[in-house]
Amino acid sequence: MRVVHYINQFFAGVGGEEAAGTEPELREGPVGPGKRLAALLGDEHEIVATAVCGDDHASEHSDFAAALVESAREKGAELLVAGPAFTSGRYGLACARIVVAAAEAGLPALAAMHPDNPGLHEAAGTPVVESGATGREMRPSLERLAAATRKLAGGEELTADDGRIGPVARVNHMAERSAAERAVALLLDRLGGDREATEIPLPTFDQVTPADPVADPADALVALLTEGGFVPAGNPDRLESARATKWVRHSLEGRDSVEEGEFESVHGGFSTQWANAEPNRILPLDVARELEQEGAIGGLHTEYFATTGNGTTVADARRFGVEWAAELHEARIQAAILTAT
Amino acid sequence: MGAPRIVPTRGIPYPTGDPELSSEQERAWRRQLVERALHALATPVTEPTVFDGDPVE
Repeated sequence: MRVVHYINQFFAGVGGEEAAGTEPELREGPVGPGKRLAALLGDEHEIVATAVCGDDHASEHSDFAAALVESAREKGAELLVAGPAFTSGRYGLACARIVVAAAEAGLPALAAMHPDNPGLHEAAGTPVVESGATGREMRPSLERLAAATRKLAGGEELTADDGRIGPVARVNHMAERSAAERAVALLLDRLGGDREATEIPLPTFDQVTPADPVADPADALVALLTEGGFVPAGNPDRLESARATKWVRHSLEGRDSVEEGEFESVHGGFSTQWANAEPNRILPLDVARELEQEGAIGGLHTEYFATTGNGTTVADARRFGVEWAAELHEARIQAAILTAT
Repeated sequence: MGAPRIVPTRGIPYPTGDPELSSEQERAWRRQLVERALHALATPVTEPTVFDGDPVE
């Protein structure tokens, strides 16, 4: 099969963080880890091209994926493979987006990343196989990815035995036993000491490794963020009051405070009367500006980011987090204060 | 949910406020919260940590 391989700017040899804004491009043949992957895929499959995009560009322009898939198809791609992205959040998100775009375009596709990668839940049922946590585990990660790619190319379903992780699309099938019989069997298993058996695995919440502290807030650029549905009066972006699918950003330049009548909360999960009467109760700009002027904060970011944390899916929240981190990183912000309602 | 540095506040609808207070008192309370947050940001942590005291200068 003709395979197109997706990698980020780092693994393509363009550069590290300074090159994270690299625009999407398609290169001939395998590049970087793709060379080893091509060897592992054997003679039956050929990496005809490598799709490359900078991590910041990919996390800020979700349409990069459809465009690259289109270029891949023009190269005659019959299958798309992405990564391994290890635990790199923006890279994982990019891999997830491109395999989803490929699947939507009718191409078999799979990605490889670590189970803790926030991109995993963006893959929306498109197969992802497990990789190691860092590039030091490139070799075994590529071996697993190559084996899974060969199997997918053969038209087979990938399962946990292939290292498949993440959400699996639900498919209806006839069970051999009725729901009542299966429920009783599960109960008996539980009474017998089996704590794991289930037909409906619950979502797991991951552990976040805390960032290193800032050396001194007096030298740091600090951003104000909130999930309190905080918007300019009238909600020009139509941020949702519940189950948010997006986030908004607005300038704080030239403001010493957020005033009643100029900002409001559209959060649907609590009474917003107190927030609307005194918007600094949600976004503490008045005192943050004071601390900035006194020199206790090096500088405040020129804008705030907000979404609504009310019935918002973990997958969307995770995506906002990755996007916010990328934006803040690019703006050279060292710390953030996020008010949570 | 894994937030590594947490400053507790008084109510969901007003994380950086307290409508029970007079407006001067409320602003002082808000300033105290942001100062705690800055202290938290400058403190090494290895797991989710609650910062509910005031920084010792």
